[in-house]
Amino acid sequence: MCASEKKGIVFSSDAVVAAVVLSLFAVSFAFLSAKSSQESHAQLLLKKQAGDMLMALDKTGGLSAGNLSELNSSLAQALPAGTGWNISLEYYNYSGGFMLDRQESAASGQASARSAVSAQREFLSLSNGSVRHYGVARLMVWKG
Amino acid sequence: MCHEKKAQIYSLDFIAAVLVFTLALAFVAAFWQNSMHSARSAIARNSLTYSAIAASDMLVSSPGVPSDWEKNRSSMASIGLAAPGSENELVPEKIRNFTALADKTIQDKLGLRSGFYFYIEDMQGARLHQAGNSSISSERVVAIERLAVLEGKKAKVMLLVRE
Repeated sequence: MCASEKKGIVFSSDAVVAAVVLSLFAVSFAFLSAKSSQESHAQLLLKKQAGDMLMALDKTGGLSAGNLSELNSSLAQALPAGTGWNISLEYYNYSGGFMLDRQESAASGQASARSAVSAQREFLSLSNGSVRHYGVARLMVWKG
Repeated sequence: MCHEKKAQIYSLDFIAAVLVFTLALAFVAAFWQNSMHSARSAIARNSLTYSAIAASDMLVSSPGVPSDWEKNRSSMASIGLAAPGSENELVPEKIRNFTALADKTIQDKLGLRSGFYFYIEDMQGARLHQAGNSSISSERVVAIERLAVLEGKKAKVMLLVRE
């Protein structure tokens, strides 16, 4: 039998090695790209800042007072420049169960869905040492 | 009858193929080098940002160990400026003791590998307390801004860490 009439064969080990090398290249590239992404830390910091904001508003009496114009100016002053927000407050009475008494909300603009993060805080509104309302504050913040 | 043709090298084709392959390889190598350089610097910056966030968390959320370390600075195992059991509520006595510490001690306790500048200001921007090297503000830094309560009022806590 002559050499030119030999049937072709696929060297499967070569193909496997090539596929492995290509996969390693793609995986390492994706891994490094993901690790170098700034996004996660910016979101983490923004979430912590939202939590800080609610905690500070609670401890300075801003949440229990529920004065929206004061809350708006506090948020504008305290949040880092270029940060948008949307705050909602719910006040409940308790008599055998929680009953919604009133609801307030304010926003600086339209939330950017891609980068928005939120924080929530439960608080008490006191009057003469007794509980007037049980409240829930939700703050959504975003950059840009 | 079988045709036993000899193999031939078409030198012009071969040169063109080598040229194209070399160009493609050079392009991939340059792209890879550039990507690796960007990734390396972004990873270093991310790691720095992460340690700065952790350090700011330690300062505003924890009272430190022991929780009354300000009474005996030499017993301090970890720094924290918050009142025990009350996150983000800063204790003036702890802050005064913190700012009196040597920069190197603060850096080590906060787990920072480079220079830092820390300050607390009121909502009108008046600087109330500071520690570290203020000149790094003009360099490339990672800046972490947190909000806390100091003596019943809101205060901004800033931590700048040099890249």
